[in-house]
Formats: sequence, C-alpha cells, structure tokens
Amino acid sequence: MIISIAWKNIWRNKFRSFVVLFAIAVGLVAGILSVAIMNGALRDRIKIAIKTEVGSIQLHRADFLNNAEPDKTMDNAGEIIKEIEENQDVIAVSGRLKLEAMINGGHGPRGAMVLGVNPDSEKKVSDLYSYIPDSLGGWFNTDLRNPIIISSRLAEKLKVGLNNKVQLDFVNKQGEAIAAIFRVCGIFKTNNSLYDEMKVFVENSTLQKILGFEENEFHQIVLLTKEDADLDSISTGLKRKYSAFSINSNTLQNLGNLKVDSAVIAYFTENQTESRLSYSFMQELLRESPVELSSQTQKDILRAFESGVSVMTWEDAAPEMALTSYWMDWLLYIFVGIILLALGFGIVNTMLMVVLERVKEFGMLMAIGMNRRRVYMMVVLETVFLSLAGGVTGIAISSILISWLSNSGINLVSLADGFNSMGYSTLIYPYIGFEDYIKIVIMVILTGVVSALYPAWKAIRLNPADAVRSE
Amino acid sequence: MNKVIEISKLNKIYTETAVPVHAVNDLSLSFEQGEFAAIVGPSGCGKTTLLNLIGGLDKPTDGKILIDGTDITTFSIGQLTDLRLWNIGFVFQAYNLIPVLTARENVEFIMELQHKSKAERRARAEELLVAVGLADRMDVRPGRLSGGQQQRVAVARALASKPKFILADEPTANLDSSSTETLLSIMEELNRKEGTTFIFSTHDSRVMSKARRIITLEDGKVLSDKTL
Repeated sequence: MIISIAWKNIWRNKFRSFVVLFAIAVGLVAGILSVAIMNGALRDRIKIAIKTEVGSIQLHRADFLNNAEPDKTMDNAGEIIKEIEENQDVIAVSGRLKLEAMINGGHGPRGAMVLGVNPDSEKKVSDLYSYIPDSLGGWFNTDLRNPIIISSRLAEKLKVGLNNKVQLDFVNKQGEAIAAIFRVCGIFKTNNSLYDEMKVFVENSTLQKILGFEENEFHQIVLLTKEDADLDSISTGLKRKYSAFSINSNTLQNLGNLKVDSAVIAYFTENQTESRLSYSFMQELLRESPVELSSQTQKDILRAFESGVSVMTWEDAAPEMALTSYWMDWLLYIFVGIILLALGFGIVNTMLMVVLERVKEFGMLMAIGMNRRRVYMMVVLETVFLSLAGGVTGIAISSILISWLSNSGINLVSLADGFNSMGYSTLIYPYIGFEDYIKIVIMVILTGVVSALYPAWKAIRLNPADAVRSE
Repeated sequence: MNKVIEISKLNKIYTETAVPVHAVNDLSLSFEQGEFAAIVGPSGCGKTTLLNLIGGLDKPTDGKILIDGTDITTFSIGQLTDLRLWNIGFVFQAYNLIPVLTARENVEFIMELQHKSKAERRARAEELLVAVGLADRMDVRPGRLSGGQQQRVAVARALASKPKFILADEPTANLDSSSTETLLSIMEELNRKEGTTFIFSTHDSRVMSKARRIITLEDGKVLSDKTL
C-alpha cells in the first residue's frame, strides 16, 4: 500500500508534478538526442572507415608499420589469404601493395599513398568503388593502359580529369627510383577529405609489372568480417596463428636459430598477453629485460620477429576512432549525468515543498504507528516515481524522435567542410542502443533516490505531536 | 477492573519558551478497561500535553506512565512507535485522513502496518465502516466526505488495530451538532460493544454530557475527577 500511496501522492498536485515531469523529460530528450546524434555520426564514421578505408582487420609484416619500405612484403601472403578465406566469420579477404609515391599531373607533384589492389577481391572488402559516380568513370572497368583511380579532391589539385595522364614516382624493392605514367580511369569522392587527398588506387598487376613484385606478394592483407562477428576473437586467433609475437617456450629458440637462455624465455612468456602482442611491445620487453642482453642479441631477436606478421583490428588501425568510440560511452554518462544533476536540485526543491505541505500528514502517520523507516521509504518512493515518470516520458519522446530521425537522417550539409575534414558524413542517423536506455533509467532512479535523501530526512525529523497539530 | 493506564507524579515542563511552562504538574491518574472519559479544562490547562504523553508522542520531564503495567517513559522512539501501532488508537481534531486513499483504504492502512492479511483487513474495515454508518461511502475518498463522515472514518481507523485505548483530542471541535451527536453515539456504542477505553480531551459540553467520567485539569493539575 505504501507503493500505491507514493504513486497516488505524486498526482495530488498535478500542476507541480507535471512541471517537474516536463523538466525531466525535456532535459532527457535534449541529452539523449545529443548523445544519439554524436553516436550516430561516430557509428557511421566507423562503418565507413571499416567498409571503405581500413577494413575490419589488417595484417602486415611486423616492421612495415614502423618503416613502410617497398621490400617489406609479407612471407606466404597467398597461403595466409587462402587460410583466412575459410573462416566463417570473414566475408572477404584481399591483398594490397602499399607504396609511398609522388604524383604529378603536370602542375607540380604531391605526395600520395598508392594502394595496389586486385579489383575483384578489393571490391569485396572495400566499397570505395561505390563512391565513383557513373559520370566519373568506374572501378578499373577500362581498356586504358596503367589505369589509376584518384579522388576528385586530388584531381582538382592536380588539375587532371578522367582519362588524363598522371605520373607516379616510386622506389622499387631494390631502392631504385622508377617513374610510370598512369591514366585516370575513375574519380571518387568520400566524406573523408584527408583520405581522399592521400589515397590513389592502381591494379596489383600493374605494380607487379612496373616494380617487379611477385604475384602473391603483398604489404597488407585486409579482411572484412561479418558485422556481428567477435572481432577480438578473430584477431586473437590470427595472432596465435601468424603473429611472430605469440611467444611460447619454443618460439624464441626456433626463430632465427637464436641461442637464448631459459631466463629470457621465462621473462617473455610471463609478460606476454594477447592484447599486447605488438612490435613496440616487443621493443619495450627487450629494453626492460631483467636479463642483460647484448645489443647484438637484441637486434637478432628483433630481426627474427620483424619478418613475422602483425595483426591489427580497425581499432588499432584507426586509434583516433577507437578512442572517440571509448569516450562516446562515457559521453552518455557525462551528458545525461550533468542534466540529471541540474534537475536533481529542482527535484529536491519540489520534494522539500511536498514535505512542508504535508507536515500534518507525516505527523499523523508517525502518530498512528508508521515507523520512520517506512515514512522515509515513502518519500523516497514518491521522488523516484516522480523522476521515473519524467524519465520514462523523456525516453519515450527521445526514442520516437530517434526512430524517426534514424530513418530520415539529419542533413548537416551546411557544415560539410568541417565534417568532411574529420571524415564524418553530413547526413547523420542518430542512434542509441537499448542498453543505453537501461543505463539512463538507472541514472534517473539514482537521481530520484539521491534527491529524496534530504527531504525524506526532513520528514522523519518531524515531531509527530507538533506535526499533527500544525496548520 | 483492569487498569489500562496508570500515571504517577507526571511532570512536563517546556523549557524552549522564554519562561518555562509547567504544562503537566505532578499529575497522577489511572484509567480502567472500558472507560469513556473526558478530560476537560480551559485552553492551556495541559489536556493535549497529557494526551500526547499518554500516547507516547511526547516524553515527560519526570514521572511514570504505565500501560498495562509497563513504564513507557523509558521507551525508545521505535518502541513508542510500536506501542502506538499495537495499543493506541488516535482520533484528531482535524480528522487527518490520508487524502489519496478511500475510506476503506484509510481504515485498512493501519492494519497493513500491522502486517494483517488482506482478507482480515478488508473484513475488519468493512465491519467498522458499517458500524460507523458509512456502509455506502466505503470507496469514497476523504475529499468527498463531510467533516462528520471523515471523523467517523477516523474513529473506524482508530479502532481498526484493536487498540487497548483510544485518545481523541477535541474530536468534535470541527463538527456541527448533528454530526457531533451521531459521532458520540457511535463511539458510545463501540465503547460498549468492543470494550475499548475512550479518553477525550474536550471543551464540548455535548461530549461531557456523554462521558461517564470527567477529569478537570487546571494549570496541569487535576482539579476534579468525577465518575458519573
């Protein structure tokens, strides 16, 4: 009955309760919508990054990431691709050559990252082809010799157009400078201006011919996994299988026929965690090794590991996005927390008024035998119900708004320059997960409980004899 | 007869005021089971203070109050709350019903505090509301009842917990003569039927005319104690 009384009590002064309820609802709608918009923009950015730019997981030769030289191709890349293709959670795999180059359209050179791709398999791991409008060519479906795909932004800067020539200056595996003429067969435009300015795409076969790479020689293997796949588990599996940093008692002995004593093996084994298997971690381990290692031994160990494979998820490949994603989780607590904190003061004020207005009633309840714990609980319940009523209203309005906006999207085309420079789309589809709503409900309940503490304490401090005779 | 309340050498001095007020002054009294007594006297004579002390709503400066032989002046706040819940019924001048509950729910409420079963609560509430003449107003909230009807609900609520005695502080002060007459007849009837002790503080001559014992206070002392 206390629950029923508490619920009925909040509707005794309908106007006041509706004002509080409205304030909570409006505050929550503002907070939830803001978080949903940021969340939606980030989700979209991550989706684009995975599907267009970095893939779900990337594999490189370990030392390629520190120094991207042309000769640092992966050993057995063809076999690795075949093995990965058998994984049920992997949608597609593709090998890439990745070279730094200078590109020149006749009006001055610019730096570029050349990605040598297999057009068919690349189309399965990356949807970049979809960013080429029909009027601006296509994805290597051309008879042109040495075709190249560049972005509209780069084309503008190079002052070139479709079918125009550009010159690429590379360094081959032997360190010799090689120049080659390519023809623009497609011009793409993504929402990431930085990516657009840097990346150009050519066919693997062309690079093999010009620079002397073998057929299955790649700098990078990119794979796209199913959306619901457990990326950590796939990545850990790949690390276990291919990573040079997956250390066990035999690995060190076997790599490069090194003569390493058991203390070093024990040290590496103890410090190994799957989440930290990286080249830089290996360097750190070597630096801090308790067993004195000569600089030559350190070099030998590193060299042995350098030819191994480094496995990176999109979070490793695009750490700025991973960090933003991590902060986005906290942003919900921070945004909604600040709003609820401000609303909490209003709730405390309202509940103090409630207690003041009902002094006689609280006195009567205590006089007839309702103990202080129950009186306290009744005030807390009233506050929680009031907060929850506002919270549920706010969440309901937010979810309707978000559901509507997630279909139509919010078009921020007027802010396109700023958004595109950070790689964000100007059409945002707000998103907030079900678990976020649960978190918000819990935060609202906590706000109610905390806001009730002082008013409830005031209620139980009343002297029933005085309270019952008060006016 | 069995003594329900025994008060001996009871004093209550309020020291919060500029001049200390001796509201109850060395007062000794006792009440037996089934009494229908009125405490009368001019305003400020200590009637309400005495009822508050007997009801465990206030603590005396010194003296003893024995309820069924147990001294309640040494009780903690929690013990006094339990004492009121199980042994004492209260009827207030301003009715003091819970406005969001119906008449029936108001009567049931105190039994819920006693953890009585729903069936028991419902049966007892209906029995008492019929007894106070509100059989057809059970599901009406206090706001839609007249003052007399609200006070009858308050009497039913006071009796619901089956207390040893009922303390009624000026129960008819806000009622017209017809409602007062009805209420007093109902309380008299319940006193006879249930054997519950009723102790009133009152200025009302109509209440005094129904009382079987009249205790007159003056300056916190018993001026006279007449059994009629």
